[in-house]
Amino acid sequence: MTQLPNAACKTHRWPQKFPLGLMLVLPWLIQMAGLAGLIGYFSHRAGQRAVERLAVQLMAEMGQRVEQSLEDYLTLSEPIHRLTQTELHDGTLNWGDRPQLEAALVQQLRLFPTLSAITLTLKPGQVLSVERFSTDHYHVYWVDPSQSDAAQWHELEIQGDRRSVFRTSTLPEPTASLHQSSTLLTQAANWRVVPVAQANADQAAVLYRSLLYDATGQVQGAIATFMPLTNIDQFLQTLNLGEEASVFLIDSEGAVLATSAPALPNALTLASQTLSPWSTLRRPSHPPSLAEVAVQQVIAPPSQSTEAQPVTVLWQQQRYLAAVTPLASHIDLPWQIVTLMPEAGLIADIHTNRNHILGLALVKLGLAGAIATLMTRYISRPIRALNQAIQQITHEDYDLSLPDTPIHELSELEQGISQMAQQIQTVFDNAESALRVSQEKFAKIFRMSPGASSITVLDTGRLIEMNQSYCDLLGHEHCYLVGQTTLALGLWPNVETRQRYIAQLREQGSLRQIEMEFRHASGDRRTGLLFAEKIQLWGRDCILSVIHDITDRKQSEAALAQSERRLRLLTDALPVYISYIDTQERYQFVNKIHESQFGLSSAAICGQLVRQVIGESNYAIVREHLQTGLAGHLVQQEITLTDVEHRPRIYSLVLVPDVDERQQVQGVYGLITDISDIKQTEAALRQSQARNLAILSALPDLMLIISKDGVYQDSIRRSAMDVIPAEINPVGRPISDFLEPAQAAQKLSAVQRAIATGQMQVYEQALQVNRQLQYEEVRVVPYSEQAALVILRDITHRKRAEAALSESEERFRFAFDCAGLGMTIVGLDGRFLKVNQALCEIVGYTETELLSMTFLDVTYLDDLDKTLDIDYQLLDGKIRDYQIEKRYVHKRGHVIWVLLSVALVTDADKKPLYFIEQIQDISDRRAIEDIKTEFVSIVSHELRTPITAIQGSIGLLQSGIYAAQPEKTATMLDIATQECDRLVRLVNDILDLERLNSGKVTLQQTRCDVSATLNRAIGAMEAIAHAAQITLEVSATAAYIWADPDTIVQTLTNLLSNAITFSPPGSTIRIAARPVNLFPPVMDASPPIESTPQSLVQPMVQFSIQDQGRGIPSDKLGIIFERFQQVDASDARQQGGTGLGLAICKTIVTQHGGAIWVTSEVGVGSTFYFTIPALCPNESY
Amino acid sequence: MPQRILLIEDEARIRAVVQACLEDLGGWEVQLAESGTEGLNLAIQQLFDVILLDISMPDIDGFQIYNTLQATPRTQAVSIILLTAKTLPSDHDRFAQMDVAGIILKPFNPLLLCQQIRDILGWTE
Repeated sequence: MTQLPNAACKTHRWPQKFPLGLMLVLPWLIQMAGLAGLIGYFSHRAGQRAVERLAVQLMAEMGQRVEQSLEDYLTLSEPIHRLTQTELHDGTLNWGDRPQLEAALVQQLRLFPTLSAITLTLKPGQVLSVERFSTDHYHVYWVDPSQSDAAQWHELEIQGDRRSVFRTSTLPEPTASLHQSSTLLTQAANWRVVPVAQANADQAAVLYRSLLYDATGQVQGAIATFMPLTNIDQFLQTLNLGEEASVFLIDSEGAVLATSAPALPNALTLASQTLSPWSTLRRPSHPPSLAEVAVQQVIAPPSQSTEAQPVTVLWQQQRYLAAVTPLASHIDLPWQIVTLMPEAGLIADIHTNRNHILGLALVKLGLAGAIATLMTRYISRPIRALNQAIQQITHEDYDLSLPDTPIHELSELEQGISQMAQQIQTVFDNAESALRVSQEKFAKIFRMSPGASSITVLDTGRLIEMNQSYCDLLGHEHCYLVGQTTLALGLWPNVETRQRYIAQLREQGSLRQIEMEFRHASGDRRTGLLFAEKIQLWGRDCILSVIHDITDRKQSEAALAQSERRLRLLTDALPVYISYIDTQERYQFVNKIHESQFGLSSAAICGQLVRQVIGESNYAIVREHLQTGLAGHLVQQEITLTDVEHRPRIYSLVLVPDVDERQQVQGVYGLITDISDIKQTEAALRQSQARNLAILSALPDLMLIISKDGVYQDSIRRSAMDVIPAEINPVGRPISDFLEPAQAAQKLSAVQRAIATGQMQVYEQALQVNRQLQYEEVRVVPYSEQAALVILRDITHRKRAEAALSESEERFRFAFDCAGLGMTIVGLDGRFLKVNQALCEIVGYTETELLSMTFLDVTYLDDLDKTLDIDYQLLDGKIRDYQIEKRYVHKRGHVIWVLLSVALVTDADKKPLYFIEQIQDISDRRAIEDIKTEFVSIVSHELRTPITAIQGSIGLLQSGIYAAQPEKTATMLDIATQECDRLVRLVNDILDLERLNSGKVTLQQTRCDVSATLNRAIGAMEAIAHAAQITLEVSATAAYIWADPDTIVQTLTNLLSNAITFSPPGSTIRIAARPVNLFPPVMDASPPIESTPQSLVQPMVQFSIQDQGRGIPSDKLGIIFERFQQVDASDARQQGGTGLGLAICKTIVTQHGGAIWVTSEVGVGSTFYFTIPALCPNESY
Repeated sequence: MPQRILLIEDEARIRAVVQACLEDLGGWEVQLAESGTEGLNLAIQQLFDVILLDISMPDIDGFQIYNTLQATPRTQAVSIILLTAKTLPSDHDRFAQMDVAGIILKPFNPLLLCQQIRDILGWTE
């Protein structure tokens, strides 16, 4: 039974077991089917080959027949050629007689209806061509170059012998046949296929030509006959090739020329295809016709052999056999005859035959299968019965009933099996009775045994049987235990342990005295000794085991061991040398501490003599005490022994005699304690106390011990700072004897609080000592339950320093707050820590706002990097402080230039704390500098421009290149001169302006007549105005001014010069002067307000110069009085202006206490006004 | 084929002098522009070997012309020489940021002007 799984594994690869019936029937059927298939296949192949051979033969014959017939057909016209040659030769026909020739040709054409035309060509280029138009109509063409280049033609109708000429005309174009005829003499070939015109349709015809010779054998001309390909079609159809076979002619290029099969699918198109130029036939149509497919297949390998080689052509899912026969006759046309036969017609019978064979084979196969199945069932029935009988025997059922079988071998097999069954039954009966006796014996012994015996199955550990002792041992009922496993009962701690023992048991056959723990039903853990034997019971491996309970013994052993262990742990943990010494002065017990002391293990020390272990010198000290102890007296002593490193150490020695009940001393317990460290500590403590006292005495502080009720208990005196005179000892006296009542009360309260809370109390006090004010710091420390230590320190110096610092800080704060400069303290993170009012005013933020910002917030973005850079240098200690000019951004958004001085404040360790910064608003200074720079820049540029022109022109002149060019020389000189003038004017203007502005020149003010002044100015400008065709119109009232007349004239001429410059020719400039009452000028370049209040006004004379020029744009009105601020620079320069004229005017007028302004309208003109303080006519200075 | 030079300069007499130098001494072909606008139009419409550019001009100044020429693909590669009377350090800081072939300061020596241009552009005589 146990082998079964393995057997199953081996047969696992094969699918299943096959039934006997299938095994018998299946091979038989396969064989039958295979045979039938092979026979069918070979017969089919043989039939097919035979048919193919037949087809080839047939088609070859067909090809030859067609070839022969075609040759005959094509050569039909040969008699005409021969006849014509003969008649021309013997003079029956005359070369020159055209009507005779025409009649002969028409006659011949009528005789040969398969021909379509006959053409006669004569050597001088004459052509005579007769063509059949219909059965009775003929066209005759005639070309004679000696008469006319054009062809002539007429139509003939012939009915019987009557002929009538219908039309006669000349042809603009030669007909196709005529055209062909013209080449007859030059062509080499006798046979050709040519295109011809026939009945308004293009057709092809076979042309046959022969040359005509005269009597001397010279070529005289040629005759050609045309046979249309359609006629060949009809001829081929008449050949009667069979129902399905067809034939067609192809030329060497594969073009289909004629076909016999108009009924063939797509064959109708073949005839028309012959009409087209051949090459187009090569172009496959869609779908390709049968002819095309056949031609492609046939001519793919050009078939040169004369024998027809059939080719299979597949067209529209039908197979055709095609063969090619070349037209191998004396007709030199490169034609091939293609014969085509549908395969279906030939092979149909074979297919029918094949189907019959297939049917028969299937019927045969069915019959064979049925017979085989019946036979199999007949044979397999008795075999199945035998199989069933054997199954019965294995199930120990020996009462067999076997059927009768007619098969001899099976019948014998049945008898054998019956006999075997009977024998087996007898043997089994005998064995069973013997076994029963043996079992009874064993059971008795088993039950009676006093040991706890059991039988378990070896593999599973399941209990089969056990005696009463076993049940008692485990505390379970018999019925409970049977069937349980030893593992489940807790006889083994785990599976592994049991398996180990089982393995041992299998190997040795028995186990002896195995100590095991198991669980009693009450839950107690017990110990047993196991004896086990492997036995065979009922065919199985079993264990017969006996267990002795040894739990009690084990428990007492464990208790003893634990007690010893505890003692050992206790003694080992103690730092005391504990030993037991017997009367022989040998160690019987020592604790662990001895091991480290003597470098020996406890076991090694035990049994040795004391003197050997501790050494002779120590033994000499101990010996006396040991003997006293051994004499039965308790010994307690301090002794000094040397340790292993020979250092003296002090020990406390206690020896307790061990006296038994008979008062005999058995030994002595030794307890030796090392008290060297304790002794040393005591000494050190004493030293420390003395030292502390010395330190306390050296401290500068006054120390007192004051009791809870305010009485001095001790003091370390500092007479210099003590209120108690040095000669008085305060100990025992109340503090109120020496201190002011308030101070005494404060001190007492601090003392009491310190004692009550256990915490140090600190306060400061000021008191008069030696008639000086002294500051003291008082610290009260709890000392005991009743007293406190009071430490008094003189802090007078510190107090004074603090006061000085506070005063300094106050001074700094004042300086900071009230400084005229902006000041700030900036933290290392850039935050404003402190700002003063001046800074707030510079940047426009309030103090609160600034304190929430960093200096980065107010720094102009472009200056940020510069500032940070230098700040880092400061932080790195590379520089101590710095001063830079940088830009801040005002709260309102404009930029302020400041001069910033920064210093870094550090602590004593050079650690940076913060920056102190001083900020000075230098915007005004910067603005002035910017103006100055710009002015210098402009002046430099304005000066360089004329100098460039001067240097350039003079340099060119100097080089001499214009020596021969007076015009160029003049130009250059002109440039130089004009630019020199400009330069002079510019320099003068600049100097004037500088003189006026610097204040170095004072105005030579006198009483001036306005009219006279105006006239001077006009007189200077009149010539220029005249040259510019401009009229000057003056209107002046009599008035006087207090002024420098030259400068006023200069102002007027400047303004007039401008007006003339920008006025168009023919216009008028109006100059006027009138007295006015005006406020003193308050704004530049804007008209002052005319007013009446006499007290505020000043009498002035207002000059005005009005032009009709182009005017000034309003945005320029404000700046034209600035330096170099022309309205249109290039224009002004061309006019010779320097850009400084108006600035000079403004300066002059302003210095006179007047005002200058302009009103203007673009396109209309401008009016310049200026005022000068007036003088009353009678006023004089 | 003489070199073609565009001179953009608002001062008529300087224009005349420079033209004389370049044409009579250098033998080059000079096209004149009286204003920035005219100069810009000419520079974009025609091809020049070099543009001599004045900075201070009333309508469009030299900086604007330079920026426009740089931004126009057609004129990006044309060499530009500044011909200027601006000589202050602040002006030169600004010139340093421009990618021009060279700077000629006014006043210049007329006999050396051509050579200066040749040196700047690496032309041979």
